[in-house]
Amino acid sequence: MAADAPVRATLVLDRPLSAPGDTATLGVSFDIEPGWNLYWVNPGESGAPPKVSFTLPPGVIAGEIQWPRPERKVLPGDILDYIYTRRVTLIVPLKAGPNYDAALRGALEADLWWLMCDKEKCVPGEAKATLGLTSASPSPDAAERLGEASARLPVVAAPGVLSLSWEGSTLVIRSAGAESMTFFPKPETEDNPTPPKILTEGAARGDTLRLSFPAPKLGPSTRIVGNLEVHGASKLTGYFDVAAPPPPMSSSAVR
Amino acid sequence: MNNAKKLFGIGAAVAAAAAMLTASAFAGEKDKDAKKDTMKDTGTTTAAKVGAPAPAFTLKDTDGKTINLADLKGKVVVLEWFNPECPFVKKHHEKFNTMVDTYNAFKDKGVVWVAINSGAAGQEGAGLEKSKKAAADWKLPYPVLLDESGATGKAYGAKTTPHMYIINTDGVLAYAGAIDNDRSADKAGTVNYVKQALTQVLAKETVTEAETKPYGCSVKYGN
Repeated sequence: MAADAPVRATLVLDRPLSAPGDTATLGVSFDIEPGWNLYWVNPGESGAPPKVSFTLPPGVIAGEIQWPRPERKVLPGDILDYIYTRRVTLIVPLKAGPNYDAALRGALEADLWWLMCDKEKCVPGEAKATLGLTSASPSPDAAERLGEASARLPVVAAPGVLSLSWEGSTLVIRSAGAESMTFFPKPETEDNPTPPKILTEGAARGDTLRLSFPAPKLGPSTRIVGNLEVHGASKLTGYFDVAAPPPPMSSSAVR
Repeated sequence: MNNAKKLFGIGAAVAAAAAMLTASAFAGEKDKDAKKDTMKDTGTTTAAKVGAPAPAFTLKDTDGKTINLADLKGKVVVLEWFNPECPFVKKHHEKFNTMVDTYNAFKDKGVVWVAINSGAAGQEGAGLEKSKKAAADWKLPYPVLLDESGATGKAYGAKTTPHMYIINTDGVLAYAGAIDNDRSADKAGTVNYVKQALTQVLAKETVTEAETKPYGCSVKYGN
């Protein structure tokens, strides 16, 4: 890929896999030129998330991609997107299984595809990258990229930090002391409907965020899944996993 | 809670970035409020809704011919939001021929199909010349209408290219959403929602999937 491309991809690893049972963290890192963006796992109303597929050495197991906190961006035409700018590193846990043999000096191959957009256009990009899994300690750059991304991953909220409740077909999320909150819905599925008014409801001032759903979209298997960014005292105070159970079935608003 | 500790301990640079994030998150809200006021003048307070009358439009095609939706009453009308430079539009016009194939399957059944380019001047793929070239290169058997102000796109709530709409013979919106069920930029879908909905609209049946989530590039509105 040309050095002046809007987005450049690299692979980084935090430590070598030396023996069965070892674990490591792989980063698929993208440097994004100013004005351009990539997309979160749920791109929002337009765009597409990067696609990553690996060819792994024998015995190496890759976990699911962990997606750092994106930015909420509203484009002209009220198009709501969840994007990455400047730099993002997707985190992939790796594990050496019982039949892993470091003496084979295995390398991981990644096939990467992404959609990058600026305000005028969208362009696909792709790259193939290879990374030896047995060699040497990570560079300071790798450590920095992985550290930065890890700090942007969602965590499970400590007890009492968030409260989730249903008022009819409205999910009410409260966080004591919050000055503002932003909800990032995971990709829409039948069980995880996206709130139709997410443009206005998805970012709220104060300690309460309300997401209203059409009652017919809710049912016993509903699970509203997303991430919640919380700000208090003028700074980011948390980025949490949210998984709301279905509303009580006794509610008249539910089918 | 290791990650949580990191999150809380990340220092001034990230705090500043977080403050910027808050500002940008609410900018959209303000924009929306401002837009609501201007939209009152035209009587359109919300985007088009399936089951409600389709918003009127009068637009010129790439040959300068005016097309008024009202003149098409009694026909089934398909709208295809269009940007010839968008990879998702190219998927359906270069890699596959989804749009033209679907049109050809229905053109003799009273179905009118138009592409609409709502890209503002200066945006990639916008305007007369690029639309004209794409229509020629891709041998489009239907017109491309120019909506450089974006007014028609916004009235329909068109978010992506492509974003598909079907208007029934009564002028009511019968379908809004994706062309098919594969959201990638390079693979064919297994369900063509427009084909499915057109078949049902022509048979006067209920459209089983009347709203799907569109996918593609954002429509490149100017403001």
